[in-house]
Amino acid sequence: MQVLITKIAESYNPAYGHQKKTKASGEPHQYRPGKWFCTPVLAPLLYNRWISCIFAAFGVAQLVLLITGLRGWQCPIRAFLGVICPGCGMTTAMALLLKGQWQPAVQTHAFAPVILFVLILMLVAITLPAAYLTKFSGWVQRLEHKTGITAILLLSMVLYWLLRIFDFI
Amino acid sequence: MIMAMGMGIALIVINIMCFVFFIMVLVKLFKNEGALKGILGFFCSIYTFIWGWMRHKQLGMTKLMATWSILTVVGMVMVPVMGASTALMIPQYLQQMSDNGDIKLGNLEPAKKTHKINWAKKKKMAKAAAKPGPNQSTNRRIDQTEDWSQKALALWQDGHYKDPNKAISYWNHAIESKQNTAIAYSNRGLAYHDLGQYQMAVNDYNQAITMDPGYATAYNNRGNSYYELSDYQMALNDFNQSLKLKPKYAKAHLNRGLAFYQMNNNGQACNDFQKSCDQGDCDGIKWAMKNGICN
Repeated sequence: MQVLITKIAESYNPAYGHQKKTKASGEPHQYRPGKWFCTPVLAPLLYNRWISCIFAAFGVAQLVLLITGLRGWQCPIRAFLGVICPGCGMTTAMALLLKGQWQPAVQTHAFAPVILFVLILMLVAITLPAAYLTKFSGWVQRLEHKTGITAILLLSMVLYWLLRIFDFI
Repeated sequence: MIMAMGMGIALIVINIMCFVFFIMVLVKLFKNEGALKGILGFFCSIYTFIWGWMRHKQLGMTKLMATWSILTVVGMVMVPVMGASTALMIPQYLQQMSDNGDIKLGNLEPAKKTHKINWAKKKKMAKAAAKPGPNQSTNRRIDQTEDWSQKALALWQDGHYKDPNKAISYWNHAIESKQNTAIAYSNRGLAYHDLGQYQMAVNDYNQAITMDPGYATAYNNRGNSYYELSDYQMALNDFNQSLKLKPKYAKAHLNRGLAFYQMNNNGQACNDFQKSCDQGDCDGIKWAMKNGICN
């Protein structure tokens, strides 16, 4: 039995039973510059169907509240500091996009089409069967890991925000 | 008044507390999930909120998240309640101020409107499209830090927007930042009108009229857009409605005169041009007399 347990343990961790560490002592950890840059952000969200559902529900509720003229979720930064945050204007821009008014939508927030695409990805993820969902989120994860696309987009949004608050756009 | 002030102060306190809670959860998000998700949480506060609830047990944030949620809901309910109560109090407030001699009610009317006339556009004659200027009267009452309305209004020169695309952008910001008044929609409609996107303009005027059915200027503006779309009957209906709401409205008389002219009703057209002139705008009657339409 002990042999079997050891075998199973070995299959999970080759270092088990060999009395050696997975990393040689005294050897520095390999430093990968910009590792954080390639961290998948979207893939974990897509993989978890419940999170996707919650996000989609929030998004739809926000759009409905905006279209009906009621107060939706307020950005705490703008509500308190009066300064727009990088995402301010996104709901309006999305509503305009859904009405087919592309030009005003992009003028309101340049990243609205990107976020709309992300929302579509989420809706696709919600509806996919489990096996396909794993493949799909895996594909997104690889894409994020290899290209760092999410980080590029997020940092671009921060840059866009800076341009907006200093009135360059 | 005291109740409104109390609610205003309460809303400010709620906003401050929501901001503090947001920052607290955001810091935890940065620490636990790394920079990218932290940035995502920064620009999408809903993500921070959802993440906070997902990890509330592990990070011991249950009370914090519950309080934040309650405050958010209270804030969402309070704003419409405050808006409604303020709207109900405005006439009384204005009357009080008027009685005290601080202001006259007439001062709240739109500033003197400029207009342009396109005399050389359509089949029979150059067409006229008189436009009212963007209404500035109530925008000043909106609590805001970035005055998008003022930026947009600064673009209004000589009866049209200097840069209509930019004006649309500013009005979009204004509408998005809770300045979504009938005036904002009507003024954005003017920008679409300047771009020749008359149907978009009509959509905005529709929205303005839905929000404020007694808004004579919006009817007049919509009439102008219908006029440009060569839908003279609809234009006429709108000018009629505008004049019903505001009988001494020179621009609406002038525009209705032009609509009548397009419908081959020169008698009524001259009548309206004359009324417009009586009210201070004689461009229509001068043009009509010059072209032998009126005697």
